[in-house]
Amino acid sequence: MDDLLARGVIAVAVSSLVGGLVSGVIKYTSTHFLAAGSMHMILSALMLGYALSSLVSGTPPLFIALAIVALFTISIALGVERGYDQSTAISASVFVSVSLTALASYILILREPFGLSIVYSTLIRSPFLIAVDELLLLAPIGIALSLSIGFVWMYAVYMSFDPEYFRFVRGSLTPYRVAVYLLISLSSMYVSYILGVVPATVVVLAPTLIYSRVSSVSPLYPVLYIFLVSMASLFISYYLSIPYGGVLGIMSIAPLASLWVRR
Amino acid sequence: MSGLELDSVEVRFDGYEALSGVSLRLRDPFFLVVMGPNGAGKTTLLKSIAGLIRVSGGSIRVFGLDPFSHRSSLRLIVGYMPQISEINTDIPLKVIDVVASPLRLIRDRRGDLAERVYWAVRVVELDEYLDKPFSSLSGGLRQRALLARALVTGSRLLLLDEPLSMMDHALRVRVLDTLFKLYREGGVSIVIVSHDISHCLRFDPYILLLKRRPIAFGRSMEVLSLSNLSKAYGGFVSDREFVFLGEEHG
Repeated sequence: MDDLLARGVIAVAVSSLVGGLVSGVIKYTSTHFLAAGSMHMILSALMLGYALSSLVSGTPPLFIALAIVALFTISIALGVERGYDQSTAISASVFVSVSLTALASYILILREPFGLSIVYSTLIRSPFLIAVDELLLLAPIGIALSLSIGFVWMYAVYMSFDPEYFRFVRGSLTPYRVAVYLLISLSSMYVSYILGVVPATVVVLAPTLIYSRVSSVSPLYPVLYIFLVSMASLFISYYLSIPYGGVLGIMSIAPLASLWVRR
Repeated sequence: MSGLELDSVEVRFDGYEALSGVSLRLRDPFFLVVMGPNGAGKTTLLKSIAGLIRVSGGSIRVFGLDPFSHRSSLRLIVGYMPQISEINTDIPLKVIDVVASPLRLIRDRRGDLAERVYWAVRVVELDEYLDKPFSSLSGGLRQRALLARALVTGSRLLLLDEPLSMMDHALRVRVLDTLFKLYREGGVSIVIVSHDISHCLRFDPYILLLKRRPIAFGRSMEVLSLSNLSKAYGGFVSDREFVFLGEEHG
């Protein structure tokens, strides 16, 4: 297999596995808005990461971005715990993050010779062009994230089914809510880092519609759906030389449209 | 042994007094029915006993322990059934998953998990629905599943919030017979919050009549006097039957 295609296959396999699994947590905990909001926060976090690393040399942009996403997510969870509804808490964080994105983008474009390219590749990245040493780091992180989602799966399902009973049995909702929010944000961040924020939105949110059509809490069909759609898009993109993100968008819509028609 | 002790219990929400001056002491096992009009604080009291609400004043002891600070110790011996309206039926859980949930969530390894689940669903006559999606069940069947969930941990105390409201008459009688048998023969203490207490009366339970403050407490025949019922429900109460049928009818 060609080296570019091999890299693409690994990148898409791990990102679709993480995306397909985390979208189940999003569906069952009704945090679609958080997931969509996460993409704004991730954009802001990555921009700030790159901007800070351009201002202070040697600062790793990804780790700064991860810390910023964690900060945003915890602020949302705390907002919910303090009695704000989820939408208000997320809207506040999205508002702040969008403002920071604008600021960081300007810094990058003005300070860096390839600033515009960094901004663009944060939005849409090619899975074929991820370096091998980066993939060697990203693949185990993806497996670790998938295992973490598997670990919180049962808690997320029962927590959403009957929150009060969950609180009775487990003592508190707060640590589980923070863990779920963090996992959603970090998984979205992970997929965004590999594919770019725009295709990541498809990979993380499209399977939630499949989850709403299956009659069990198993992730099998949604994960299978996004895995097959992502792989098919990758091969079409490779052999027809069409940008991956665009193919993925179109490919993911077709099965969903058929579900909608059947509904 | 002292099962439940309430000493001048007071609960406030943002300055609003939801409960005040509730005191009682019951030896284990006991059968207590909490009744009163809407907004009387029945569910608040049950949640306080379950350790879900911290009391603003006074104290609660369940088997000698403060339920709010000892929830992890009590969750193995207390079964709780909240009102059915608080359930999210969009989650496609099967009945078996719902009933087994406390055992899975507290990683209870005592005995055979499947055997305990089957016992609990048999008690509420739900065995044939075990693999059905919870969301596809009728209101009465859902209540039975939640009752089985409360029973499955083999609790010494059951806290049940409107457990029978959606069941038909015959099933109410059978489920109450089973609960009474658990109380009499199994030594399980039971607290039921209910609007409709007519089915409970043949067991002569303790009754706490509430209207944010206790109106009366004692055996059913002592508590259900016209003067007490008038104080609780207000207006003209000419016949006990009205209240026995439920406050909506009263």
